[in-house]
Amino acid sequence: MILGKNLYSKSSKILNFLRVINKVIPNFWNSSFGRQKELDSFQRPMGAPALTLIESGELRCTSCMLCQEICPSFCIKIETPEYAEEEAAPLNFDINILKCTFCGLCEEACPVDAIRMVGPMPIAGHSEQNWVWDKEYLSTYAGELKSKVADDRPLMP
Amino acid sequence: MFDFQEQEDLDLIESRKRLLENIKLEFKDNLTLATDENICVVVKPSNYIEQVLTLKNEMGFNFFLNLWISDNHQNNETFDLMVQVLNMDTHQRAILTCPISIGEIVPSLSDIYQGAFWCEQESWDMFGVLFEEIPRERLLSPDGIEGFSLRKNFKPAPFTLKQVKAYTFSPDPRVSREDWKKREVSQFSMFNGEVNGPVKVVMETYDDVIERGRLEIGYLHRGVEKIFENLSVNQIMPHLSRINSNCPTMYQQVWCHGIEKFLDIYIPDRAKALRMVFNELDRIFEHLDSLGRIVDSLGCKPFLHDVIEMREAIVKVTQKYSGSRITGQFICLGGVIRDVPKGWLTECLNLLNFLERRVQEVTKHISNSTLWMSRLCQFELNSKQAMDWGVSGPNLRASGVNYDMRKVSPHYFYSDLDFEVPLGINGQCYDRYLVRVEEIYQSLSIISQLLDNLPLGDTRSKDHRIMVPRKQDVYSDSNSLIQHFKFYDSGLIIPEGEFYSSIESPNGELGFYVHSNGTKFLNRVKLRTPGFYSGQCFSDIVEGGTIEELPLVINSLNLVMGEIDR
Repeated sequence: MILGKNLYSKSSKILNFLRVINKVIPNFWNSSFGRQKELDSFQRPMGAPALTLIESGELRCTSCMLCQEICPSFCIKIETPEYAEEEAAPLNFDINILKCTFCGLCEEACPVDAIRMVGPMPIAGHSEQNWVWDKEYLSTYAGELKSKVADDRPLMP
Repeated sequence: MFDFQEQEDLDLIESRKRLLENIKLEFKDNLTLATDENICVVVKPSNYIEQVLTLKNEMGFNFFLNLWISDNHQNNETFDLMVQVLNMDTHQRAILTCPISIGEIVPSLSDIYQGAFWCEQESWDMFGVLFEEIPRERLLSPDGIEGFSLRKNFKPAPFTLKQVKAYTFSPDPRVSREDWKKREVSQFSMFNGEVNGPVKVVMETYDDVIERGRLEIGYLHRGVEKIFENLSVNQIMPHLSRINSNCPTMYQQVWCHGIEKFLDIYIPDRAKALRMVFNELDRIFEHLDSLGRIVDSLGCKPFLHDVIEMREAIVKVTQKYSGSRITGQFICLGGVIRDVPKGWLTECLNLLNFLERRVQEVTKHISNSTLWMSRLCQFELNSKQAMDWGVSGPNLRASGVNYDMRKVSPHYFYSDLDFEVPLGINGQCYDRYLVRVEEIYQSLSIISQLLDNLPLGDTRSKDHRIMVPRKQDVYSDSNSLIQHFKFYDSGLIIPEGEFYSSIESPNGELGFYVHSNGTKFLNRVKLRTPGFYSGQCFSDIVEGGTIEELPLVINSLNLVMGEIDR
């Protein structure tokens, strides 16, 4: 049994206190001297999708079409060049943001870290506004990504 | 010392053996599967009613679970009619399969199990299967649609909405005809957020008192089961969490649990415990929602704000883990997506402390107040009615039936946990409210036990069929890249067969029936949502109420329209 009910009953009160104080003091130390900020900043954002860029300013996407195929609401549309070399950037990359459910499956499926869910984006506007976001629009707010990404998954070099 | 628990287990095993022997004698060659949990029988249409009656009266299968049509032959001529019933002593579920051809008129089950009424009407709506004595009206899909939407040869076409005549009640046999003619028929639509989703009530009133009432559903129908036929196993996951947004992880949990059981996939202990934590958090979330809506329908606004504050506290903690506010996407095939972040456990424990204090504070003021009791001590649902309609969960327990799937057929670590099943006595709104409040305390204790003894280790299974390599490896290693592509491109292919899996959701038994024919897309997914059966008993309990009390009745049963209409 994993969840033994008699876990704490065998040892004495002093031992229990020592065991607990062993964990409380470092926790208290960390929380009072700056570690708390790290904890608060850990928020995996699940906002609007964005395309990431490499340092030269081009799209990282290699148009492997995995995100288009995995999307459960069929909102991603990728156009590839007709005679493509091995890894080619897409001609068009459109996301219909009204269909998107922000589930994050595209981010999970991407093998080169080209698409990301970024923090809370205000997505409100007029009905005549263009709700199909193209690759220019999707990549403009990717520049701010580096400050928002959590420590456990750095951007790919 | 004499061990009662052990003796009970032995008794259970023996009674199961006896039942299986009886069934083998009765059905002989027609028995296709007989295990400790599930029994499958194939019957002919000619003796279909007799077999159901023998199951109910002689074998003790007295609880109606589900009735549905499945297109397993794929020739557009024969369908499988499936009936699922539960034996509450041995906790076994029996599925009767009855192949029927397209024009055949099938005898109705609604005299034997009352709960079959809506199911049979839905089968006509979706597949065009004819039943005796069942009105041929659209239950879920809009009036005016042509064809039957779950058939394989259905092609969606634009249609115009048809104006249907309002429902008319037949003469009431309990009163004289002259008295009946004095009654007024009126309709009351609730589209304003008073109840969880849009719904319409058609009722017969006399002097402001409701004599008979009837729920009209289908205003939130999205055709989820049809959508699932064109999606792979992974793509279905985000859709599941949006069926009932109060308990998103429950639906994903049933889905993953069923597939993992069918494919024999081992899940790490830490993932199991984390899944249980989130399930119980969802249970609290759903019960708080119900409490808040009851309070709102009686007009106590201050308590409503307290409840919203509590719900917001839960949302904040789950958001730290999943990233999104309510419909988080973190349960995946083979475990949970990632481990909890540093310091999350402490925050969760703080949350439990906060919730316990606040729930005590709120319920202390209202539980014993005479005003509250006078409003809530009505609308009785007795245990026989509840079992006839197929009502499960807190609504069933409020009428005194001790049946909780976490106790009787526990999955994961529920058998090792220390918790109790709260029961009601009268089955009134007050009992339903009290049972829900007590279940919140029990869930809090379950979570604290789990967090105290959280096992160490991985959070994702390493089975080769569902394993996803780490992101860091995918960037650098070509083998991992190939595996990554293979998993996300072709998806998980479920081998030919069928399975049923169920767990105890906040509103009752939530089950999925899945039939696969070995391709990427599934042939049929049928959801047994608990609200669909609780919704039917509304017509039984609403008698004698007034129009202002309609939201109270619906909210005390906790009917979530997204769950009912699917």
